[in-house]
Amino acid sequence: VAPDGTPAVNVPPGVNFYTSTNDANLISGFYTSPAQFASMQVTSINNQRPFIAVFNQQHVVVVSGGSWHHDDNTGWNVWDTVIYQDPTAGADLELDGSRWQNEITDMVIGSSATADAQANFDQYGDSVRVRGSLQRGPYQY
Amino acid sequence: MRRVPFLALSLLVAGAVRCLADPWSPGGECRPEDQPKYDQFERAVRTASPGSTVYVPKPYPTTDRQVIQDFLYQYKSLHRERADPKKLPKGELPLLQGILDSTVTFTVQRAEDWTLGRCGKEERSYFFHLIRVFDAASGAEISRVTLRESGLWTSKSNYFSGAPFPPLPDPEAAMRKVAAAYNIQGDSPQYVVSLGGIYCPWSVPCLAFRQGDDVYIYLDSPFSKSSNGLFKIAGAEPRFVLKPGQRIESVHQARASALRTDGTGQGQLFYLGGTTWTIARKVTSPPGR
Repeated sequence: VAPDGTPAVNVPPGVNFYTSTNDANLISGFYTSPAQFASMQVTSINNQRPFIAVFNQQHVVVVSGGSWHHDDNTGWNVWDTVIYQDPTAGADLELDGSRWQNEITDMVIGSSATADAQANFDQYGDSVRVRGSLQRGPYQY
Repeated sequence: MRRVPFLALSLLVAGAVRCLADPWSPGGECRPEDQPKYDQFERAVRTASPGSTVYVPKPYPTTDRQVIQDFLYQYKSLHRERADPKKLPKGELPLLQGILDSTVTFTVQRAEDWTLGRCGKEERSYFFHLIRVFDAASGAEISRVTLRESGLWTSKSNYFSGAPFPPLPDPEAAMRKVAAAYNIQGDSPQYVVSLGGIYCPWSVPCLAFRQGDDVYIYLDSPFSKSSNGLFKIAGAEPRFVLKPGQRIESVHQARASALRTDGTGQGQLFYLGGTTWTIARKVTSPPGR
């Protein structure tokens, strides 16, 4: 690996080669609808499969979980935080849902772990809100 | 054990250094056409009610006490006392217990936001409030939290693994070190958060300073010793501006082309805010130093 890192396209084959994962793909936030991008992330974590997220196309972290709550007053399912592992900054770091969506430009994620992302979105999408954000659904998947 | 009430916390907070100098940025202001949505977001935060996803009790806090009020409200709203402890982030229980029992103290400092979120999809935020949370009895630092300019919670990092948080670089000491090692006399030091090739995360911001038109970023992290050093953004360094419809690959290509042209081959892509990137180059010590 060059001193200033490796291109993002090299990450999925690396994951497939060095881990038990064999279906890792690089997904660009630029070419993917925000709803689909987010639903794939939530679905993968719900299926207990960590994924790699990329800050600003330059720094990768591994997402291992997150938190959400159901607001009884509004009926919303609020995405609160993301928990990730950062090789540079430490373990079990947390970022709120809205800032997470601002900073993540790409991800490397398993196809099988996200197969039911659209079904999850269809079922829950309209009720999801994000902490720190004004975004309102329904979104285009 | 004596419990430290919030009044005592405010005394400690009052002594904290909030701002090192008048804040500055190396350029890359947000796009004027985005200002209406940023204004709309600010209005929404200022008028939000409890239960809203953007509610804080003290919108756009201006004092340390207000910053801490916003943090405590948002943290308590997560109701982590009801969660399965096994599913909480590592190191969460001391923080949770300390907040619920009021046995923690706080300091608040300012760090400039040089991430993509500075000119975000909904919100403009030029800086963070960096809150350091300490156990009042032992004085040990147990968490670092950032809120953005609006007071909305952004990040959290807990102590848990036996190694303390890396200290924030002391501005005066760092400037002396830089002067001795590199023969550079800078001014206006400030903490910055940047998530690019020069990685200055929320919990461990870097120190940035200026010398004339040049900007320097001083990175001294125990987590990334191979990446540590002093980086320079020369005033004359080219700026790469993302045009509508372009994505970040284009600025990566522009960087590679610039490095090929000048023959150096070395330089990190560095985000300046808005749609603007540039190149930051590692500074080598002069011979004999």
